[in-house]
Amino acid sequence: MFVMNAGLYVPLFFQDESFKVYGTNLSLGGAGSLQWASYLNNNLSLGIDLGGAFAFSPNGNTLFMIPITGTVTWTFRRYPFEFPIFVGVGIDFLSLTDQLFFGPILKPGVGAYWYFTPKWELGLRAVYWWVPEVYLGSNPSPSHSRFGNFLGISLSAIYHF
Amino acid sequence: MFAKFVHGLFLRRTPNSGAGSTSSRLSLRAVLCASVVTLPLLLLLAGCNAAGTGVFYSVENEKKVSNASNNLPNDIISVSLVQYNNTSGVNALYEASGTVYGIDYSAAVNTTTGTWNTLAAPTGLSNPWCTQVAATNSNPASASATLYAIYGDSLDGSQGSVYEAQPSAPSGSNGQNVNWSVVSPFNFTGGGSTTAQSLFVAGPSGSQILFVEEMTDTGSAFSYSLWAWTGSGTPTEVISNLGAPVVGVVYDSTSTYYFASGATLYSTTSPSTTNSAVADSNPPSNFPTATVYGGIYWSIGGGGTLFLSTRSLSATTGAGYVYARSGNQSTAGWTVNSSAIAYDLTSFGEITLGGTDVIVVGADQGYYELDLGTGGWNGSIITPTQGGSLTTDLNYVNIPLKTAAVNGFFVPPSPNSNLLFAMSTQGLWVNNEPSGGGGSWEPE
Repeated sequence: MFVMNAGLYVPLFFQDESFKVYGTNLSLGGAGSLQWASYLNNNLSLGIDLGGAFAFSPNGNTLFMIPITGTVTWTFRRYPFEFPIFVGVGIDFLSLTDQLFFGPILKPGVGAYWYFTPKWELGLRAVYWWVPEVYLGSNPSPSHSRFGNFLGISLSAIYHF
Repeated sequence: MFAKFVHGLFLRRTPNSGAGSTSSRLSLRAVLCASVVTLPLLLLLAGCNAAGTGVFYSVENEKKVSNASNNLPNDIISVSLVQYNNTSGVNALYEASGTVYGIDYSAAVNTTTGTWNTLAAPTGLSNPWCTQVAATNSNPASASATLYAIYGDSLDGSQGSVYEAQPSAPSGSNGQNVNWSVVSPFNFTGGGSTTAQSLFVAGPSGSQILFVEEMTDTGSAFSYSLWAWTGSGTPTEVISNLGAPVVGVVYDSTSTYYFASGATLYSTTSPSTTNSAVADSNPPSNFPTATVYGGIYWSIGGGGTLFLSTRSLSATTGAGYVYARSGNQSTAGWTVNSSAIAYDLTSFGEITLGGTDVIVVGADQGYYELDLGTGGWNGSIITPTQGGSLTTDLNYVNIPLKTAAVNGFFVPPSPNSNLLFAMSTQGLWVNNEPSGGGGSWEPE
């Protein structure tokens, strides 16, 4: 199946290594993704998700995030509705002006869908983005390490083939 | 065809439908499971960022750069900034970027007030264009303080002549008349192949010398000469027939003036004597090929340290090195960074952060820091990194200054030496460094 998502991207907060909370200083942004997945049984599916998100800094610089994740989904059903819960794990590329970082990402989420044809579902999806940006060396300093916390809320469509 | 490919890869399997082949299903599961498990584990170790500042950290600390409502455009190409300070109560900053802007010094160092206003150009010029300003004997204030400027009568700055003035206090309105008069020995308004190119000021307080670089178009090449002028009388040609521009003149606080042109370091102890400059007897060894000097600076720290920066002759590749020689300039060795900075380097500035002297050097993109520490510079060139006490940066990574060519720096004398002005191709910037370091850049 293909899963197609597009919607809002909400920067929540950053945390340092001691989990002290900081504001993100970012604007509301946008996010989208495409996922290809396959069912292993009636409820469990595996997929690969390619996403993207953006938000703006105070001086108008654009923070881009491009995650590529493997996603495990468990779907609850009460036809014609479906309620997937999922978690994606993978790599995320961060870009801001000429700064570039790639590291891991964790994306748990939930959705709610309605089958409006036998092959198409429409619904809503909420995905939490947890993005560790950890530095162990001296440049950047470990004090620059942050855990990014974001929320994506999107309209979603699923096509079954 | 694509649909068949996808079908084969993911299997046409929906809930409660028939199964595909067992071997295909298992191989797909294996691939997906393996990638889900191993990829993030690998990348937990592989995450990297070569920019020197954390991405989230930089945006977290980014401050909105406000356009100060002080009448100085943010899009000027700022090339020189000087303080003019005389004993008649005039104390002002003047900035050259085609047009000369002036501001009361006290207003400038109190960054919440003050307005820059334009100065009127010398009379008789149809297309006045100022490429340089300089001021002699202004630190400390003196009766002989003089403001100099190179004005050309064309929009490309050619045919530049040197003008002088002893202006009144900034009037607070544009077009202030400062009674410019052309300095006769450097009057090229009549045309010809020679033009005034650059101005440098060096020498002991109260007896500073204005050094004027002239450029002559010989028809087949450009030839440069350096002249010394005390403000009256006949200037002295310190050196002639140079094949490259002079990048600066500094004074070692005792008797020697140093300047650099092309790949040669020169010195003179008697600039009032014709052709007194000689090639330095102790230049950097193993000077890289296809490289010339980009800037020169004298710091009184380390028993007196001469700094030189370099730039590449390549039009596409930069080669930034800094050389430093401390103490006995005739015998001391040179310290140099072990690997080149990717950008060509220009002029220097010096500021004190957290009780430590830090040299800043401009580049074709942004600038860099040199920590002088307690034992002098150790050869390490640092990209400004947010946070910390020994840095000029709190928001540098995300502002236009980082990608602009930085032409030079100006640090006001004490007690305002916590201010660092940067002249760049994207305007004039100011950083109000707290004593603990880590200040924010704002457009002036």
